[in-house]
Amino acid sequence: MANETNTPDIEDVTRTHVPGDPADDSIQQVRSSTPDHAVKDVSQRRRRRISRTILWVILAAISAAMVLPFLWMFFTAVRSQDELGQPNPPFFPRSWHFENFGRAIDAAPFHIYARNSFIIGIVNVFTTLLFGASAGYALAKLRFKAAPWIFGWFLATMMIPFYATVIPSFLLVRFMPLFGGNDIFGQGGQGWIDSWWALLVPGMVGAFSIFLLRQFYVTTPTELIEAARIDGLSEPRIWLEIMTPLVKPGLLTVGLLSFEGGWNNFLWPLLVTRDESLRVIQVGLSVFRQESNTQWDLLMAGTTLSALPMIVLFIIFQRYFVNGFVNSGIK
Amino acid sequence: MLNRRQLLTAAGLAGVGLAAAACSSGGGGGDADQPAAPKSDAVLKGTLNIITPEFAGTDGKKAFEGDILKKFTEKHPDVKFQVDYTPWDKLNEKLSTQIAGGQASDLIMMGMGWTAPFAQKKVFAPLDESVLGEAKIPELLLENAKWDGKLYAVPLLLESRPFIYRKDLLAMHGVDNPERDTIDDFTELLRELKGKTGGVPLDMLASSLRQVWGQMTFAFGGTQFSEDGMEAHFNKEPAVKALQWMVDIQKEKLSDFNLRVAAGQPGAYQTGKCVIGWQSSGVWPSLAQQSPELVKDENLGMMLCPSTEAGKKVLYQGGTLVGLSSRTKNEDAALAALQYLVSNEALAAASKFTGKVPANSNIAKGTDLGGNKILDYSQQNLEHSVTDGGTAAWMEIRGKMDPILEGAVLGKKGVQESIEELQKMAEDSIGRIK
Amino acid sequence: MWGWLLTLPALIHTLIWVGAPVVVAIFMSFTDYDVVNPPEFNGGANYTELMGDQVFWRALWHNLIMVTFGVPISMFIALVLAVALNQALRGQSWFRTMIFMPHVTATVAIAMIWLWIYAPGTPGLANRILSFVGLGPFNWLTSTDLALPAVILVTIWQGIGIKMLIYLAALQGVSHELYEAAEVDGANTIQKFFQITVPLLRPATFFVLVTSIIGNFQTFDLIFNLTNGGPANATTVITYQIYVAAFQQFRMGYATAMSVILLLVLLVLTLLSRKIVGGTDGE
Repeated sequence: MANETNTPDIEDVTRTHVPGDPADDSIQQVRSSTPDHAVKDVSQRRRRRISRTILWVILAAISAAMVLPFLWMFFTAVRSQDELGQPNPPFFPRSWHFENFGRAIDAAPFHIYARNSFIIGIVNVFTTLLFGASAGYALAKLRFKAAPWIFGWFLATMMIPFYATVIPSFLLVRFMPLFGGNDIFGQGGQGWIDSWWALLVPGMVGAFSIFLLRQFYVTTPTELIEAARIDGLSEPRIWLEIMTPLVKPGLLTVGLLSFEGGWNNFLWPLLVTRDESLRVIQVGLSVFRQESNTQWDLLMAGTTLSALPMIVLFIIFQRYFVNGFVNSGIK
Repeated sequence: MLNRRQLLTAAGLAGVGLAAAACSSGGGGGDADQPAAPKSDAVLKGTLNIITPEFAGTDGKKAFEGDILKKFTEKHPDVKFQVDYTPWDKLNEKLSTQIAGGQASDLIMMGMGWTAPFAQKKVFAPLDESVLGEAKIPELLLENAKWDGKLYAVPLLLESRPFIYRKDLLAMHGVDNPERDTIDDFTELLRELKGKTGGVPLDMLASSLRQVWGQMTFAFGGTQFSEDGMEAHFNKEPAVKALQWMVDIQKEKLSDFNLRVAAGQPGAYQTGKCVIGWQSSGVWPSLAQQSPELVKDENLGMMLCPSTEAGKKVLYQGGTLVGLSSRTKNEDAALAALQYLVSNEALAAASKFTGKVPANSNIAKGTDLGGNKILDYSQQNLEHSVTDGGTAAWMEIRGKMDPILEGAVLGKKGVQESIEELQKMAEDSIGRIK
Repeated sequence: MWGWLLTLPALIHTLIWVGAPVVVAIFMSFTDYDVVNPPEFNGGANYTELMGDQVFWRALWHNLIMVTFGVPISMFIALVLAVALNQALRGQSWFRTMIFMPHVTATVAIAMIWLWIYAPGTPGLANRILSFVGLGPFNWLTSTDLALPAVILVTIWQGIGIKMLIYLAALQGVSHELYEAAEVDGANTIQKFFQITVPLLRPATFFVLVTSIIGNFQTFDLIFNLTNGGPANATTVITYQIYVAAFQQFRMGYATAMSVILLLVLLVLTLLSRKIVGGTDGE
């Protein structure tokens, strides 16, 4: 909830400087490099100030609405048993049971689960960025004949629900030839079941990322490619050194989303593993949900903890999104 | 040209996948029709895979592998266990992919509904009744674990649903004991309570309506399916009366579907809105921890559901069973382990950890099952057990029942119309199994 | 040649991991396959049965309602938020983070949280908040009229964050000079938004629209954990029906037939989106 007693002072960005805030630094630079506009009169300034205050209040309200369910989650995580059973629990817990976080962690081998989810996330990021960016670039800028068809194919791969293909996908993993004791025909062993291969390979790149990166490459100026070709740069270098720096926001976004996808993955890792040492965070969280009873405090504590790394990651990540982040790259 | 290659690649891979599916799947180990009987003198060895929705988490693993299974391996040191803990709500997917991949675990724990369909598809091997050993399992539950006259799984742990009631609140309204001889008298009591309190007296329709209807069909003197499971009795008088009763108590607000909460949230009984609840033994931990007042002996009363016949009571059971894969490569060890899991010793320990009722009325009275009073009460009344299902098409029918029943209780469709829809749905589903 | 080379890794990967399973799934849709016994060809029987399956068509209808109301609303809110949060503003990073938060959590957890918000009576946060303005209490998840809107509200809430993020990322590529030139011409904020921002974001909009429609049609975890498709099928959706057919009823053939219909619907909607947004490239 926004702290309403502390009404923030909204100032014109051109005059605000928050030390150490990259957002403000870069804006200062951009602004100072542009010619000064005509002096605005006082009433215009005031109007601008009022409209910014209104904007701020609206943003605060929306943000509060977005975050309210998470506050409820956090409060549920630290509530006493007594409050959990009440028909009208107070919004703010009367006593704070932070030990629930410790109890949640102890309920399952979360150090193993978190490590596994982290590895899946990281590998997802690198493979997705590499294959996604190359395919996205080719589809956006190297207009070869089959490109529209391949693009259509990628789109189509997103349209079949997981549940329709899960059995064939599972069989593919299970009968992977020459792995896990399988012969060349995929018989005899267990293939990739209970192995990192099954956890990592199927998620290496997805159409979502290719599509997103393609849309970013589309907006880049084609003239740059032509100029680079005239300069004699090779195609891979044009892709990597000239064009890819222009889609940094896209890369960052895809990276973040891939990591998150890997971190929150649940059903596939569960299906292709039997061994506890290969299971992931979301499987661990299901410990708190039994058939006819749910340990809400521990479930919410575990969920809070599992969301925390993602939130921190986003806080760091979003700081790179400041106006001029890409433009400076072009110049 | 490339389009063709593309096509060929896909087709080739698809072919491999399907061929593999065809080779690997299909039930039927060598002597699938011969009931498997445990051999007492065999030397057991090898690794056994068990898949279970129970015992998840650090404590569960400790209870299951460190305590229950350990006692087995002390006797049979050459047997190793590999346990696959799979959450309840993902067991369907996990079992299906395992089976499609020809990798079913040696021992499979699952819910009530799976037995007949899996027996019919020969995923499970038939069991000789000697595996039950000294265990005394309620007749109706054992009946549901059979298919085509043979036993295919053994009930282990049950979630019982007796009525529990607030002695203190009922006493305030001059009711010492809400137990009644017949369902009509019980309904009359609910009306009386409704008149006195003004509130909804019974917390029952907030549960799965499929389960409510299942129990009430028995209470009205019927069964859901014919003996062989090939005929649905949904349009027979008891089932119709049961649904009518549900619709009526909703209409009169003697019970209310809208009081439904998620598992573990404080329900209408816990918060004192309703004075009688139809509660699973599984709610005990949250009830005891969150509302300790409610589980004191002077406040907590328990009773069974009356029927149309004075003296005949019913107690709904859901539960966990264990079956033997027909493809197990280590049948002797798997059978021995299964037999051990049904034993009094293993069941009592499992019950204590899971808070579920051991499906064995032979467990000595006074055995420490963890202090769950609903569990103890249900354990002592196992002979009244009823459960729904009993057809190889049950998994399909089960999933389609709730929406139709909800429509009836919410007044979207009439009782007769809903009954016809239910009966037709069941007939279609049964017609598909051959 | 480079086009092929750069696309090849992703292409091979999707051909193996999506292409092959999809081909198998399409094949399965013409069979009777119960997971245990080998598939048996049954012609178009699954499709014939599907034509008369009222629950399936209801599920499809629910999906269409969810897309029609959920996607445009959340896209519009996300776009406005992205533009607002692309300027330096006190608390900017906090606003961004709070708005993105619903997306960092797995949908199962989201559903769990909303089970408390929609809980019946006054323990439910939604009813409690509405009681301050004298409304309610409402039976959010047990009323056949309210359950679907309640689910749509969650999808909007959950979807705003990622859409905002993508718009935000796309806005980083929009050059300042355009706005400054427009300012010199005397354009106000709203004119700048519609004349510069919206057209420049067209590639991003196409992406967001298509992936949101597809994503919306694949809603499963939310329904499975929040309503189970109920009450009385009021919130059932196609993926839920597919799950039920495949894994509760072991009718894999029937389930894949539904998936093929879903694929066709989505192909049509994608082409339609292309028409609406005006090309994939915004050129």
